[in-house]
Amino acid sequence: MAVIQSPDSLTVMDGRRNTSFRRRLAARFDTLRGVLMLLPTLVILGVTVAVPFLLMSAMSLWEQVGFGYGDGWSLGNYAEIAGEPLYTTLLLRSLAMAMAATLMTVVLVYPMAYFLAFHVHRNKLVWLIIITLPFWTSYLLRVFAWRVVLGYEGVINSGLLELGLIDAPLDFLLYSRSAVIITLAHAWAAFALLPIYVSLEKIDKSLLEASADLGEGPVMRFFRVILPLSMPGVIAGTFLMFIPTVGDYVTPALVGGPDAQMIGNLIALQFGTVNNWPMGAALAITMILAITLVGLMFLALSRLLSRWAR
Amino acid sequence: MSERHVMIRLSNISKRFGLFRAIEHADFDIFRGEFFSILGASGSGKTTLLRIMAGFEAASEGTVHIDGAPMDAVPPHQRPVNMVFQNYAIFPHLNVADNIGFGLRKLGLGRAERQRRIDEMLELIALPGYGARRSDQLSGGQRQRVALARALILRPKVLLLDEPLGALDKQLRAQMQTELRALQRTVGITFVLVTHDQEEAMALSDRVAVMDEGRVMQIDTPAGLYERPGSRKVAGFIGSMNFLRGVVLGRDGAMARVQIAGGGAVCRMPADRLNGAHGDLDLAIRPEKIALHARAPGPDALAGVLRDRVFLGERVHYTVALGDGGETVIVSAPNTAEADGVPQTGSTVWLSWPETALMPLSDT
Amino acid sequence: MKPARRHEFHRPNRALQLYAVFFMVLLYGPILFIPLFSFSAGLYIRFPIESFTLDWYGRLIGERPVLRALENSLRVGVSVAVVSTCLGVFAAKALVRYRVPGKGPILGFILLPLVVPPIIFGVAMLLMVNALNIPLSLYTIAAGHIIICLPFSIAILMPRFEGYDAAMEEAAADLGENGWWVFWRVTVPIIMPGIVASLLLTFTVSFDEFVMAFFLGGTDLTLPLYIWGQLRIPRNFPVVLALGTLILLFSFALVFLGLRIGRRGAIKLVDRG
Repeated sequence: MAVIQSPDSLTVMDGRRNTSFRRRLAARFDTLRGVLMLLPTLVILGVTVAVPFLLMSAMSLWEQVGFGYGDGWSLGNYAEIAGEPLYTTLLLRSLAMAMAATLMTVVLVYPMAYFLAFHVHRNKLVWLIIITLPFWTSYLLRVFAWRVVLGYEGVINSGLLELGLIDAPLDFLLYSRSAVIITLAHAWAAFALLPIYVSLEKIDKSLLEASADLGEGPVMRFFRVILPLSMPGVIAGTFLMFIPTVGDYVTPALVGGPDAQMIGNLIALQFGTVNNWPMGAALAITMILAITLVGLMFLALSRLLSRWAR
Repeated sequence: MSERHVMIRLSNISKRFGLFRAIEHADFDIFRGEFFSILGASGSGKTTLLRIMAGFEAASEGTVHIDGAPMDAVPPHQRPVNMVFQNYAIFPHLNVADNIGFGLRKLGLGRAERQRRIDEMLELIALPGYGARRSDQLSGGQRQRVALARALILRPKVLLLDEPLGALDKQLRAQMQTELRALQRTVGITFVLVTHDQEEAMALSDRVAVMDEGRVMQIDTPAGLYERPGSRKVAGFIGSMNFLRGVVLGRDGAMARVQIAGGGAVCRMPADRLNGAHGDLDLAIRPEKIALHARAPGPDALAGVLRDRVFLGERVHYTVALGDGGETVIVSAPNTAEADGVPQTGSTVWLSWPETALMPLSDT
Repeated sequence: MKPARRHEFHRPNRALQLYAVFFMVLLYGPILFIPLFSFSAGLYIRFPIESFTLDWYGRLIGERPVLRALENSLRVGVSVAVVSTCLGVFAAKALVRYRVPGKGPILGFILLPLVVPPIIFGVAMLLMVNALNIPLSLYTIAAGHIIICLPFSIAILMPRFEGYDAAMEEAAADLGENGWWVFWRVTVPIIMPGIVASLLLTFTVSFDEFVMAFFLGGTDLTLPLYIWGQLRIPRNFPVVLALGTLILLFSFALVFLGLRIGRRGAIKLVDRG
C-alpha cells in the first residue's frame, strides 16, 4: 500500500506539478464535463441500440435448426433471401410502395407548405401546431381510422351506397396496396411537410421581388427561384418519409391484404409464428441495406439532376 | 505610485487556445480604487484577460493575485470580484429586485435586510421603485444599471466590466460614461473595464492598458498615452496621428536637431525624448498641434502643397503633401485660423509646430 | 411603389386557400370518424347512423382490462417522460455548451431513432433481452420507449440552450453560486418551457407507442397493445372507438400544450433530422 504513491501525495510534494496539473485539468474540464453529461445518454443508447444491433448482425449469420441454432457462422439466411422469390418480391414491393407513398405525399404536401410559408402571416405557429398535431398521437388509431373509412362496410362504401351511387360495396378499397399507400401517405405527411416548409420559409422574400423586377411572371418565378431553392427541403422530406415507411409494420397489417404485406410484416412473422429469429435478423439487416442503397441512389440522382439543371 | 495598495497583480500571464496565443506575458498591477481600462481591438485578448481575472478562463502560464491572494485554484464563485457582462446577462426569469439580490442568498440575510440592501442599490442606480419590473421591460440603459447594481451589492474588491456600454446607442453611451465615472467615485471600488472604444477608455479611466494581438503595448494615464505614445500602434489607436520619417542630425544641449524626410526642413525637439536614438527615426505628430501658414513663418517651417481642405464645422482639416509628392500630413485647425484668408488648393503652404509636439516612436 | 409590390406577393391566392382547406379536411377527416362513430348506437361502422348513444363509453368504465392497460400505459409513459427528459437536459446542454469531441456523429446517433423504422430497434432489443434472459415486461417496453423519446427530448431542449446567453450561468457563478445552485437557480428556470414541453411530448409518444411495445411487451398490456388485441374482434369495434376517442382527445390536448409551450424546439425538430 505504502509503496504506491497516490497522485495526490505526488502533487503535494511537488508544488509546480500541482499547479500545472490543475491547469491541464481546467483546460480539459470543459470537455470532460460535457462528456460526463452526455455519458448517461450514450450508455443507455449504447445498451439499447448499439449492442442489440451488433447482436442482431451476428445472429443474422446463425442458422435455425429445430428449436435451437446451428453451429458456426453462415451466410445461409442471406442466400435464402436472395434466392427465394417470396423475400425478394416483398422487399422490392416494400421499397416500391414506400416510394409511391413518399412521392404522393411530397406532391400533396408541397402546396400546403408553400401556402404556410408565403400566405400565412398571422398565427403561423398555431397553423404549424395544428398540422403537426396528429403525427404526435397514436399511430395505431390513425391507421385504424383508415380502416373505418375504407372498410367493406366503411364510411366510403356505406356512404356511396346510401347515396345510391353504387349498388354493391367496392371491395378493392380496403386490403389493397392502394389502401396501404394512402394510409402511409396520411400517417407520415408531417415528415415530408416540415422540411419543405422550413426550406421555403428560409427563402429571402427579396429574391422574389428581384426576380419579379427582372421581369419574371409568377409561374416562372416559381420554377426558376422558389422550386430550386426549396429542393434541399424536398430531398430531406423525401428521405425522412421514405426511410421509416419502408419498414412499416402496422399499416400493412391493418389495412393491407395478403398481396399488400410488406417486409416489416415478414420480419415480425419470423419473430412470431414462424419463429426463425436468425432469419428475422437477416431480413432486418437486408432491409437496412436496401434502404441505404436506394437512399444513396436517390442522393446521387438528385445531385446529378441539380448539376444538370444548372 | 509605488506605495499604493496593489489590488490585482498579473504576473506573467499567458493564454493559449491550441496554437493560438491569445495573451502573451501580461504583467502589470492594478491599484486599489483605480478606474483601470484595457483598450484593444476585437481579438486583442482584452476580454480573455478580464475572464482570467474573473476565473472563467485559466491562464496557461502565470498567476493572478487579487488583494494579495493567489487565485490559481479559486473558482469564479469564490473570487472577491464581480462582473458586468457584455450583454448584461440579466436573468430573464427574475424581476429587477431578484436580479439585484441574486448573490445575497449565500449571505443568509433576513428578508428585511435583503430588501434594505436591494432598495439601497436601486437608489444608487437611480431606479427606485423598479424592483417589481420584469427584466424584459427594461431599456438598454436600465439593464446596464441593473447589471451594475447586481454586481456591486456584493461589495466586491474589484468590479470587472466587459464592454459595458457597447450595447447602447451613442447618445446613451455618453450619458452612461458620466454616470459610471460618478458611480465609481461614490463606491470607491476598483473598476477594471474592457473596451474597444478609445474615447470611452480616455474619458473614464485613471490608467489605460493598450493591448494588441495578445500583448500589452503600453500602460499610462490617458494624457500620457495621448502625448507620449510609445509605439506606432498605440499612436494610431488613440486619436488621429501623422507619421513622419526623420534623421537625427545632432544635439544642442537639451534640444536635438531632426531633419524631416520629404520637406527637408530641420526641426528641434527635446533630446531626452530620443532616449539616445540616432540616425533614421520614426516620428509622430498630432494634426491639431500643427499650424498652417500661407507664408513662411521662419526657416524651420516645413513647406508643402495643399491638396485638400475639408470643412468640419468647428475645425478644418487640410491635407498637405510634403516636398515633391512625398508623405502627406493632415492638419487640423480651428476654423478661426482662416481669418487671414482661405489658402487655395494647389498653393504652397508652410507648417510649423511647438518643439514639444514631435514624438519619436520605438517601433514601425 | 414599394407597398404595391409587397401587395403582389401578399395577395391572397384563392386556389391555394381552397387547397389548404382540402388538405386539412384530408388530414383530420379520417381521424374524426373515430369519435363520430363512437357515438353510433349500431354495432357496425356504417352510414347512415341511426341513433346516437353514450353506451360504449359506459361499457368502457366497466372493462377491467382497459383500466389495467390504462394504468400500465400511464406508468410507462410517466417514467419514460421523466427519464428521457432528465437525460435530455444534460445531453442537450453538453451538445450546445461544451466542446465535446465528435459532436456531429453523436448527435446523428442520438437522432437516428427519429428516422429508422422502429421495428429495427424493437427486434434488435428483443434479441438482446432474450439473450440476457430478461423477461418481457413493462420495464422492457419502457426501455424501448426511451430510445424513441430521447431524440425528441434532446431536439426540443437543444434550441432552449441555444436560445439564451451562456453568460447567464457565468453571471450566477460570478455572483457566488456553485455549479449545483447555478443549475437550479438559473439553468432550470430558463429552460423550464423546454422541460415541460419535453415531458408532455415524450409522455404522449410513449403513451401512444405501439411497435416497440408489440415486440418488447409481456403479458402486461399497454393501451395500444390492448386495442391491437381488440381489432381482431369486429364485435368490439364500438368500444375500441370509444376508447380511441378518449385517447385521441387526451393525446391531442397534451401535444397541443407541449407544442405551444415548446414552440421553437418542436418546429425545428424535423429540420434537424
